[in-house]
Amino acid sequence: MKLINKINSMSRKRQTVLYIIIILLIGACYFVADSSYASPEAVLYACEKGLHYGPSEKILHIERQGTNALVIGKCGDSLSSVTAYRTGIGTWKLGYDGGGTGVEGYTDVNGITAVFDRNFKAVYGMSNVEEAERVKVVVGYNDYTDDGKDYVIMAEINLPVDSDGFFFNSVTMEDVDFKSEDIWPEALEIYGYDEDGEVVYFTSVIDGIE
Amino acid sequence: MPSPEINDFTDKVVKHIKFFYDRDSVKQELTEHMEDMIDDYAMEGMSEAEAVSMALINMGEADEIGRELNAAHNPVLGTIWLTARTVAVVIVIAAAISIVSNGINAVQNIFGEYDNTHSEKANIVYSVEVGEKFILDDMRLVIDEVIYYDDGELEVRYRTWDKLFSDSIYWTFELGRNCFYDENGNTYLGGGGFSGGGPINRHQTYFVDFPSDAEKLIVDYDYQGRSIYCEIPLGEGSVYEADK
Repeated sequence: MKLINKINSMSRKRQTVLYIIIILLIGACYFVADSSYASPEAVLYACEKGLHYGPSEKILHIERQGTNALVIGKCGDSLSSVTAYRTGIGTWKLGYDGGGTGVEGYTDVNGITAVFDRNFKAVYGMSNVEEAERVKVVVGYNDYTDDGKDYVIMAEINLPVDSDGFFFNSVTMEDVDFKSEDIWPEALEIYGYDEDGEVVYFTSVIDGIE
Repeated sequence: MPSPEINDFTDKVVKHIKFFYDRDSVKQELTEHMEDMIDDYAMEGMSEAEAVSMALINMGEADEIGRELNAAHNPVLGTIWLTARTVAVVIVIAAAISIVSNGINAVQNIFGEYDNTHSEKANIVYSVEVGEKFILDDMRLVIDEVIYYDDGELEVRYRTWDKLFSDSIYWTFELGRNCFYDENGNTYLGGGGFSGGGPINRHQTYFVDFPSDAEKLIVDYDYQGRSIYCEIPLGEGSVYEADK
């Protein structure tokens, strides 16, 4: 009660400053407790810290689709990526479309590695093969409804590799039901080409070539 | 109940105050002030009508007072003040409710203990107090104790928690595969789990058929530049000495 009386005896200017300080302090505590961040990049860094790797020395790409963002960082010679969504008050949280989701997190890159993100319908990856100027990523899935391994190819994507060894592309696959739990698209094959178009790297899940 | 003349006068004054929130309190203050004046005049021997009339004269021009009071009760500052106060009160109440509801769980968790059900099934042959502390980013990890049971199981007890106001996203952490081996390089894959429900997780990892003659349990976590390493002596009477 004494405290309230003391506050009420202050001038309105002082009271206003005090209230704003209280709002900022409690708000900051709330955002920390709620794992809300000012930007998608901040979500990536916070996630890396929580998973005990990184931090990424460079943000390679931020793909924004509506209120969602896919953030990809360069972590040594490897990749680090998470999805984040914008909340109603403009902060960013880990997840997609307001819900939680698994994160790709740290992706170790040996040779050329590609990731297909089903939420963003995007292929991205990293090449540690110096000669590789372009890559071709074959995206598809293992159709478990049939016996054994029966791979269904969904798209073949040709991409340039940038100076960081990074490549990215959104993929149009409108006829694919990504909500289906039976379909888990992945990079089935990866080709690396040099400047003359010669294959300098190849890996295939289909052929069992790692 | 103020007289109609005083009521009319105060109404005329407060009409000038644009910050509506203050009108009632100003009106009440003015009324009380004028009633005090009327009481004083009455004590001096004036009739009630004369006292009211004198008070109105002494107060001055209502519009003039109203304009001055409007300047003193700045509507912009008043609105900011009222908004800030309302928001502050709401979030203080919300924070208090949250602190009380979560605080009980947090206190129980902080002062909780490890699950001792295994010691009800098997007898403890020996235990080694460790108390070694490690820091991984915002996470604190303390290896508390190693216990060997007569059913051949070795238990490692450790706690993890994030530092206060950590800005990292919380993920469960476990010392897993290839983190535990003995002095001969034999690696052990433990089972078990952890109990949470608050800021501290208490982990209990069990190694089945752990050799009774092993002399050391080496805890070795090395990932992405983060490391945890300690050598815990095993056997009855063993004492762990923390690295200085």
